[in-house]
Amino acid sequence: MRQHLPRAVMGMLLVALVLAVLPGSRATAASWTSHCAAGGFCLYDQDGGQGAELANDPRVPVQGVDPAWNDRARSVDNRSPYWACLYADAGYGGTVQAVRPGGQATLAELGTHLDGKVTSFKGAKSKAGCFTGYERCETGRLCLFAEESGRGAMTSFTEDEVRDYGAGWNDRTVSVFNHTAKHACFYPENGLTGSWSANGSTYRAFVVLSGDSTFVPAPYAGTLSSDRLVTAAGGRPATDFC
Amino acid sequence: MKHTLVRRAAALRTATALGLAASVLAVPGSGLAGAADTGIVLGGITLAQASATTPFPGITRTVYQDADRTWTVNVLDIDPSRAPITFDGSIGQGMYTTQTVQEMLEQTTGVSSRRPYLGVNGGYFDDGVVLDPANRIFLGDLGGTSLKNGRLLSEAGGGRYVYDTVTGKAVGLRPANSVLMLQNGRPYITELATGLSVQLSDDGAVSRKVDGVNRLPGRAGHCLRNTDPANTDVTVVGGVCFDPSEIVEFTPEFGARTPAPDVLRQTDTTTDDDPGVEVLFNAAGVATACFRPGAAPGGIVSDAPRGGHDVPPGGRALEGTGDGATWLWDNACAGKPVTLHTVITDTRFGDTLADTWFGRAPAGAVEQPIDPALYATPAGDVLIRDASVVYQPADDTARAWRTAGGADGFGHLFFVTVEGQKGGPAPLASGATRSEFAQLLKALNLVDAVNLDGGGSTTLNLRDQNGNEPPVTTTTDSSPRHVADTVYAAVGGYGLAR
Repeated sequence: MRQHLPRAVMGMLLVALVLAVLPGSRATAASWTSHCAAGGFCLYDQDGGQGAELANDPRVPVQGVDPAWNDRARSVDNRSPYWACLYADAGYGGTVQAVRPGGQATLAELGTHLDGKVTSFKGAKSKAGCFTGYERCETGRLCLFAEESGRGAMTSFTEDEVRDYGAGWNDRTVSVFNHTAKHACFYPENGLTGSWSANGSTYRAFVVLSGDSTFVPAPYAGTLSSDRLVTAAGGRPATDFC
Repeated sequence: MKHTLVRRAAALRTATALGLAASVLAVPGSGLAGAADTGIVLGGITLAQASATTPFPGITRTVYQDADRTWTVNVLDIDPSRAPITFDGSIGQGMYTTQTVQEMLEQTTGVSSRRPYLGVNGGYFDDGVVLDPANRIFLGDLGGTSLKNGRLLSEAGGGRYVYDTVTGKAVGLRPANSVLMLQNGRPYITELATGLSVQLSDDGAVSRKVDGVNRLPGRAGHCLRNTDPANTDVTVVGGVCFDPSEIVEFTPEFGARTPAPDVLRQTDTTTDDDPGVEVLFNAAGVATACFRPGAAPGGIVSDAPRGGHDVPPGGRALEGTGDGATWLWDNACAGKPVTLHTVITDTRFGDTLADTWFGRAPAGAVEQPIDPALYATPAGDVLIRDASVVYQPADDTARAWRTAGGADGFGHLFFVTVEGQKGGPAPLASGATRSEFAQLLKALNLVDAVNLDGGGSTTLNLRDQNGNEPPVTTTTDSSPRHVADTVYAAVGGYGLAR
């Protein structure tokens, strides 16, 4: 599916691509025949672990698969101790499918129907780890995500003020991870301005404290356009400086 | 509180026999995970759903009870994906003491509407040292790896048995303990080992083990570990290690002045009696003070016993007893720059979680800091891993009230408590066994779950309309117990009114 790679994905690591067309007809669940090496997980472009193979190291996440494999995988053999997390969109976005350690799956047989739709994937130490992309946000950065729980496209900043997210990120943020040592104040307009009204009150900033990750709820959802990082000073709390 | 580790050969066999089927993750709302709509079974008793509420967006509380109210089970299902929820933990006023969960939750912020939505008691701690008997306030020494603020606050404890895969017999211990980690918006249960040392900054070959963090020198609770041939003067009594020769590190999170000799004031315990040596380090890792009884004052050296000093802001204190005191005196007090080295390993996967240096790091050292947004608390037995019940001991009869943390198939954080009927006559009123608890959690569709501290420590608190955090569980004690830490779900983001 979609493969919108954000700037943060520019340094992504592509896995080794091993093309090994296997003889035989289309596999069924009863005729699983993969040759995935122990310790990794492999994608196949036919059902039942057949066809061309893409071998992956679960410790090397892939936020956007090589175009030759985009929307191509139809089955997976996970021979690693990690959960194999498969996603419909780039940056761990869209529908999620987890395959347990030691598991095999023909994707068409699963409820998520990601056969022919996998665009990004990673290994996770737990199944819960398949549902977050926050780990992409490095310490010291304020990160914005286009989907919930740090999934989908991501952008990040280190500046104390970002006065205009620009056309690419204005009004797009669904979740936030403030991985800086300061508190973050978000605004609905460029230039650190604007306000929200809800339940008879007016709010001048949406605050995410240092170290917190969160979904952005209404009325702030989809409106964040600029931000400032603040700290306490002069005996005043940090949010006084929002 | 203290807990006993039991043999789990069967559990290991189960863990290695994971099924081959893929695990399907449907979209939220499909009903595949979370609290059961009907009754659940705990220890052979069917519990009916007594209530199901949504006290806050993204948080569902389901209560189960049996007809006789022998047991009450609270299930908190916390979904951070579509609500402003973040996960964290608190050690309250410091590592040196204990507080109620309510106190710790209410102290997280002065703004009542921004206090955590809910919290439960956290890790096991050493209840063998009571600071205030009248109020049952314990020393807050967590019994295993504790991480907060990008620092290691407590060393790994409670080793895990290693079983012979053929005979099922314990053949040794591995020095790691289970932990509940809250990081990147999701729970993660694993086992962590810590390696701590102090060395000369100019000669890494001159080094000594650092035995502990933020605890009394001479006493390590939850100490189940292999015999150390290089440290044969350790005695183990009731799962507590007594070592007359130690170096213990203190961070500012200790929250009190460093402990003086003989804090225990126990005539049968002498391992904490040594006046020893104490060295204070500033935030740059430079030694600024050294205390040793009988020492000739001069430079950084003072004629005084260890203890009674504040840890410098951003700095450290090291207390040494026995040959640990000798090492500190011969090196740090002698003006030789020293460096602390901390390595934390995720023993499930064998990778390094952190590799940090305090003081001048050796040339070429690659720092791997502890994530400042990570909270980890030491847990007990892992009950469910990768959707399989891995706690299946041959004998498991100990009943107690229980607290667990875990995750379901959608990555939601779950807190589950089991209360018995306080003072009730039913034979099962004293609580559930770990095995029964594990089966209950499996019935709730948890994929991963770990047993947290329980018994009188079991506490679940919910924020009320006034922003207070009263317990919604009862307690086996006369009042909510003071515990070492709490783990909680908090407000992830909020509007700032004009």
